Formats: sequence, structure tokens, C-alpha cells
Amino acid sequence: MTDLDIDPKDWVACESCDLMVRLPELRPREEAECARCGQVLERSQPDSLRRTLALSIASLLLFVVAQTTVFMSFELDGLVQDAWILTGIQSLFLDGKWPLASLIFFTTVAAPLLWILSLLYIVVPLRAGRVPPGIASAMRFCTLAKNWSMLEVFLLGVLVTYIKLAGVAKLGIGPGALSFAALMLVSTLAGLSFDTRLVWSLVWNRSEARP
Amino acid sequence: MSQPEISAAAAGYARCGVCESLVRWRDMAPDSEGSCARCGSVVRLRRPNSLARAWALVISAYVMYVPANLFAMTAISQLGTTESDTIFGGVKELFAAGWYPVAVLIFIASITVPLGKLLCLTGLLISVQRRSSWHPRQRTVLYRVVEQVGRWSMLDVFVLTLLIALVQLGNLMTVEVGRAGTFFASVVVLTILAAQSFDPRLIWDVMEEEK
Repeated sequence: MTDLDIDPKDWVACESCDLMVRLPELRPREEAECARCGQVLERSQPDSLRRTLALSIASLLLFVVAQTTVFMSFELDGLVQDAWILTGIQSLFLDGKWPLASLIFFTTVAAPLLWILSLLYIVVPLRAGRVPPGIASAMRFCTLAKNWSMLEVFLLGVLVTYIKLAGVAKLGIGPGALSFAALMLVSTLAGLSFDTRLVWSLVWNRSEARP
Repeated sequence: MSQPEISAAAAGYARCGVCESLVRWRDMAPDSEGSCARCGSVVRLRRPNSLARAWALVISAYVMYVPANLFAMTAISQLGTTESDTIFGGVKELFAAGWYPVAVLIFIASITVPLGKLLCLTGLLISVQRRSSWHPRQRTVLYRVVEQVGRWSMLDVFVLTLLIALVQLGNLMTVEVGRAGTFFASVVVLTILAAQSFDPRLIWDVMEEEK
């Protein structure tokens, strides 16, 4: 074993290949990549907390609108069918396909909501100069919820459905679908502006300053 | 290069998966559990039982893949007649109808991605177990692609959910998910979990030992 005389606070290990890297000071919007495997190690985000806060609040509002207003409508021979996101999930449940229904509910409703809420839980107190209790669990939860949230895939699904049905019947795009598209965009931006290294450096500055 | 090319493990550090700090790992067994001095999370040198877990999940996914493709994915009833289609049959139908962009999209999401992902994971697992030193960087990049692309397989399931919600016109026309739906969704979930259990750092550990 090599004995390195280093201060572990200055170094990171690449999550993909475990290479020890000393991160350089990044200018805004610069990226640090692992020299050995190409993994992005850090992306410098200007004004991270303020942007994440604004974008998560916007996401939360868009989420509520996307879930509560009519998503799409379908008209065939004078019969009109309005659909919400939950309509399809509900019919799957009633049809006895609850494992499938729960998975769809989880990836398109629960995980995105939990992700936005955990971002707010972390960012709101940090903006006010306090560290939220259970920050480590909150950060872990945030990553987990983000990984299982599949808004972008669902949105592509909306597009495919539209193309498939457009020839068969009259289709209407409701406010739900529009705000869902906006939600996908805004929440992706919120995720991009969230700088985990900044969060941890704030947490440690706070806890080390405390007597 | 001013930085020595050494892995954190060889230098006597483990990476905290939550806050990314380096935790002293001298005199600790490789498979033991430590705790992060800075954020308090449980720290391990590598993902626990990475190969065994990933193999178990990959094999289960292969098993589920068979019924997912044999049973019907959709059942469309129109005026008393019901038409069932497997995943592959659905794609063939889209091609026959001349909807090439949608057909290609569904073909990629429902057939290429799940199968390609399973084959890539199998290849990665075998290469690590055979202690291969073949193109480690390319294998790491492949792993990252596999990890990120898996979610898109949910596309067809989401399209079905939307179709179910929209096309519920009583006796006129209904869409239902067939038995394959649950199997297919379980393939997607199992491969996502398998990718998460695989530790790409194992690819590089062999290289380190050969030095």
C-alpha cells in the first residue's frame, strides 16, 4: 500500500473508477471530468441555491396543476372521454393489475413529488442559513426519488399516444398535459442547478462554526 | 500529470456514497462497514455483494423476459371483437400501418433497450469475474449508458396507461393491458436494480492489483 500524505478534504474519489482526484477550482458552468474513466465529477452551478429554490417551487405548482386538471380528451362519434393522469392508473387498479398500477403511480406521481419536496426540504433551510435535520438521509432520499422519477419518459409516451390516436379520433390536449410538459422542463432544470457539493460544504461550514 | 494515478482504495480511503468525503479505511476488511465521520452515513469500500446481487437480478430478468414476450401486451376490443398483440406483434403492426417513427421508437424502447441492457450487464459481469483488463474505460462508459438508458423501456407501458385512460367508450372500443404487462414491467425494474447493484469500480480494481 502506498502511503499518501494527503488531506482527504482536498480530494475526491471518482464514483465510477475510484481514482483519487484533486478537484480544481471551477469557474461557473465548468465541468470536472475523471481523467481515467470520463465520469463527470463536478459541475459548477452559479447561484445554485436560489435557482434550485425558485425552480422547485415552480415545479411543485406545475405538479399540482398537471395532476388535477384534464390531461387529454378523446372524442369518437360524439362521445367525449376526459382523462387525468390518475385515470389510467385507477383503471389498472380496478382491473386487478395493481403491481403495474403501483409502479406507474410511483414513477410518474409519487417519486417526482417526493423528489421536489425533498429538494425544498434541503434548500429552504439552507437559504435561511440553517441545516435541516437529517440532512444525510434527506440527500440520500433525494437521489433515490430522482432516480425513480420518469417524467421525461411519460412525456414521450404522451407524444406517442397522441400520434397513435390522432388518426382514429379527435384528441384534445388539456391544461394537465401542458403543465406536465412544463413540469418536466422546469424540474429537470431544478435538478441541474442543484449542486450537492455546495450543499455539503454549507452543511460543514455551519456545523464547524457551531461551538 | 501532477496527480498520482491511484485508486482511493489503494490509498487507504473509502468514498462515502452520500456526501462524497473520503473515509479512512486503513486496517479495515474490504467487506466491512464503516461510518462516515462527516455525515454519519454507512460507508462501504464497494457496493455489498455486488456481483452476486447483480447476477441474481439479471437472471430473474431473463426469466421474466420470456413471458413478457410470449403473452399478450395489449387487448383492444372493438364492437365485440378482441384483438390481442404481443410486444413484437404490436411493433410489427405499427410498421405495417406505416407509422415508421413511432414503430422505430417503440422497437427501441421495448425490444432493443431491455434485451441490449441484459446482454451488456451479462457481459460486464462475466468480464469482471474473469478479471479481464480489456478496455476498462469503454466498459465503464458502457455501464453508465446502461444505467441511464433503462428507464426509457417504460415508454410502452406509459403509452398503454394513457390509451386505457382515453379509450374507454363502453361497448364501442376499449383497451386493456394483457398478461405480459406485469412481466415486462418487472423486467424493467429488475434490470434497473441490477444496474444499480453492479459496482463499476470492480472493473478497475483488477487493473490496480496488476500494478
